[in-house]
Amino acid sequence: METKKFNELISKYWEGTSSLEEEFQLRTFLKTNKGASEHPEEAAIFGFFGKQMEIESSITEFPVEKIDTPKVITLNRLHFVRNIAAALLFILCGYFVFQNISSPPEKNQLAENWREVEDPKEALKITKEALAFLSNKVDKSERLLKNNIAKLSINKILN
Amino acid sequence: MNYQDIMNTVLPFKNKLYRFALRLVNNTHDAEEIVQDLLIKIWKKKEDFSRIDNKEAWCMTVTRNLSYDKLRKRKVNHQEIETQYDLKDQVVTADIHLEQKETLNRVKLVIDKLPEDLKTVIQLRDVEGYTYNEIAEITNWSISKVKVYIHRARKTLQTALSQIEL
Repeated sequence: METKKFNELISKYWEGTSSLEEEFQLRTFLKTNKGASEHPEEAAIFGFFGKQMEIESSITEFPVEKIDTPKVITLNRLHFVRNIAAALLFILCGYFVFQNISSPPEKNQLAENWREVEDPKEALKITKEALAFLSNKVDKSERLLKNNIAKLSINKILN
Repeated sequence: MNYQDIMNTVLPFKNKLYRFALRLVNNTHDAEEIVQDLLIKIWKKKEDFSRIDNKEAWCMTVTRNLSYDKLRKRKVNHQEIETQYDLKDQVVTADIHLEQKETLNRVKLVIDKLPEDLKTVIQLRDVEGYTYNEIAEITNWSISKVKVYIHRARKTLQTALSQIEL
């Protein structure tokens, strides 16, 4: 190949505008002693590409062992434990809420207990205690109310 | 499509697939694994694969994607590159002089330093001899983008090579 022709082709190559055929011509020329000695830079790069083409894969058949083995799904263990704990907590909460809703109200139990007292004396005693408790509470509330009214009156006078 | 059909289809260009993966991941073990993963993928989707027109381009595209996945994982895991391929071991035979080996290794180092997209076009065009249209199909880029990348890759290569002593 003449120098002029080579310069033209190599210039097109570096610009990225050469055709595959022109690149083949360059490759062939740079393989020759003349090409390699006159243009060592280009010969080196085309020589590298040529050697790259010789690289071969050692794979000759399908990796059957990989195809037949089912894919093992690996889970993040910590993540997995967290999810299990959250699920258990949710189930426990649900269970307690359900128990709370389904159990009969306390009021009904008291009413049932009341009816169970059959001894008149014991019934009188319980009634007295209940009335005393009620009276005490009412008395206390009355006194509190009177005090508050008195305070309210003083405040009004002061204002 | 049975086992033999797939083998007959893929094996003729398995070296191209391997070289492409090797160019991108720069590791022989990973490159072999990528080609194996591709074969498994084909086997699992053999019905879809049989309907693909340009099977070679499809395989090159999948190889490229698998290589990028591998590179991403490597970046995440900070994996050490233990078996980087060396021209001395792979391609250069005993009859090539030491000087030539060194020259080729220098060229390889320059190409290895190129960005992945530029490495891709260099490999597909200058090593495998694909046309612009074929490269566009493999990379899912437009033809003009392929041309720009080839221009950029060669200019970068030319500048880098002029700065080192060959």
